[in-house]
Amino acid sequence: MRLPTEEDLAKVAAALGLSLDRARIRAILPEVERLFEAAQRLRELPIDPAQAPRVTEHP
Amino acid sequence: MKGTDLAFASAAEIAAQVRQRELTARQVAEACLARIEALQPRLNCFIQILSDIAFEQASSVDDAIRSGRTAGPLAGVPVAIKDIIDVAGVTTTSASHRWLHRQAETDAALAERLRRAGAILIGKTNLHECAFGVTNINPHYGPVHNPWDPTRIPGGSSGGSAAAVAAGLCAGAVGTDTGGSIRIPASLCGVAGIKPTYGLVPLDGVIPLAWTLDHAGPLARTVRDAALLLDVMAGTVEDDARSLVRALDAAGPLSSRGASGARGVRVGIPRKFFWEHLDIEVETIATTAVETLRSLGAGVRDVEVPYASFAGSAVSVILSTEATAFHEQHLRTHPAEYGEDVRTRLERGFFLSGTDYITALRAQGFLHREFLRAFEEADVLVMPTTQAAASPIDDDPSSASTTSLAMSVHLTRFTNPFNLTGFPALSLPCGFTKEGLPVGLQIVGRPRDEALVLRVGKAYESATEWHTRRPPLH
Repeated sequence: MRLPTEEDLAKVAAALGLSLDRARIRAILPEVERLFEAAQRLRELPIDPAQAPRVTEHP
Repeated sequence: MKGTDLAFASAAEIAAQVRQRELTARQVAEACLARIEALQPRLNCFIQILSDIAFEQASSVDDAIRSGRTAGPLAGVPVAIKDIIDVAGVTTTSASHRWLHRQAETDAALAERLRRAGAILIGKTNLHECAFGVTNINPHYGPVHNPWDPTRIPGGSSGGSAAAVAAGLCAGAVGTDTGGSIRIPASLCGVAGIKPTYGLVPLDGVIPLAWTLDHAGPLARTVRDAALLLDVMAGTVEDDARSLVRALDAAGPLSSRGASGARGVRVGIPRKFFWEHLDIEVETIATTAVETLRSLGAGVRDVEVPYASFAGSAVSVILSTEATAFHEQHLRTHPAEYGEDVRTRLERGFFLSGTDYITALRAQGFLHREFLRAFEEADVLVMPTTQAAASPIDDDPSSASTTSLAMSVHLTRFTNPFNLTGFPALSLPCGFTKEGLPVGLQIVGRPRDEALVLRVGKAYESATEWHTRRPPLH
């Protein structure tokens, strides 16, 4: 899966009504990329598809 | 006790002397406030100094003792509170822009417990803005300086709390920990700090950062004092479903345990991930600490912590989503009121999806079970708290934000997995670099096994003298 681009973020920001100009988007892009990679990486874990998003002994 | 002796006296010693009327709580408060006044300009540990509250509480303790009433286990002990925790009648700043401050009408549950135990709430400590970072370089209140080298960071986000304890400005302090914010500054400032099991210390009256990962706990100069404070702070409150039902002191106060030391305890060394990419001095010092545990009779063996490297990814997604959700309204309307690094951390959270968040929560359950497997072969896990000692303060506007963002990834590597799993984790001093900077050792236990974590920590502390060193403040 490809990493998000400035253009992608600009479109999402507009859709969410966020007042992020191009300079801000450029400033946060590396951090968004890092989070995006982290979220994608979690999908590599061999988690039982039926597992609920809740843990034992950790409410 | 007077002067420096009093400044570095243990909480247990102070409480004993106050109860025995060898010292008054007012004398302790006066000495403590005088030292804060002298060192605050150099260290910037405090956002608010609570002189009136301290003297009022000291009078209450002294009156109780004079009239023969019970004075509490922390009688006259000066305790600093991270300024993200409510103290009645005082503004909670979260070290943020004034529009995010709130006026506390009541004490947070943990503050109320400390007060009821006789502690003197001496001040509200500085922190990384909104507890969202590890450098404690703060655009609203200025940086906290590390007492061992004021040109360096104390770590964060509870940096003011750790620095205040290390500098002898209080006997103990309270911090919060969402990715390592008690243990990292404890490590970098050379004090003990414990993040207890998730839910053990109630969080009502504490401004959240990320509900799923937030913890509160004590910092002190010794493991014994940390246990004494945790005994008071732990427990349940009716309106906080996250608190554990069973009070930790059901089997007796934590601070009185520990007689059996480390003998026979199975110490697991998770070489993969938790002992990788270390500064060479940190690696040498932590390895020596493990050998000390072995010499105390612990059985040391290497263990695997399956999928450990995924924990940080899950923490990043959960933390970013929840922190952005908490701050969304203000962030949308007043983004410029956040420091550059915190603003970036919050804005990035808008771009995560609902499925990303649920995937991370499902990963949390998976990793919780996988991490527990490491405890089939070990009673505690031991590793360095951080990969390196304290770094220089970078408050250059052109680079500070980038440095702060990078430092978060770097310094939370070994600590944030235990925010995800909720396991208890203690950091205590285990040596000093050639430059005189403290290094911390992290001891991790099974959920609700604070007693064993503290027991091993206390055994190590009793066999070494790192906790007796004092920073070069004159």
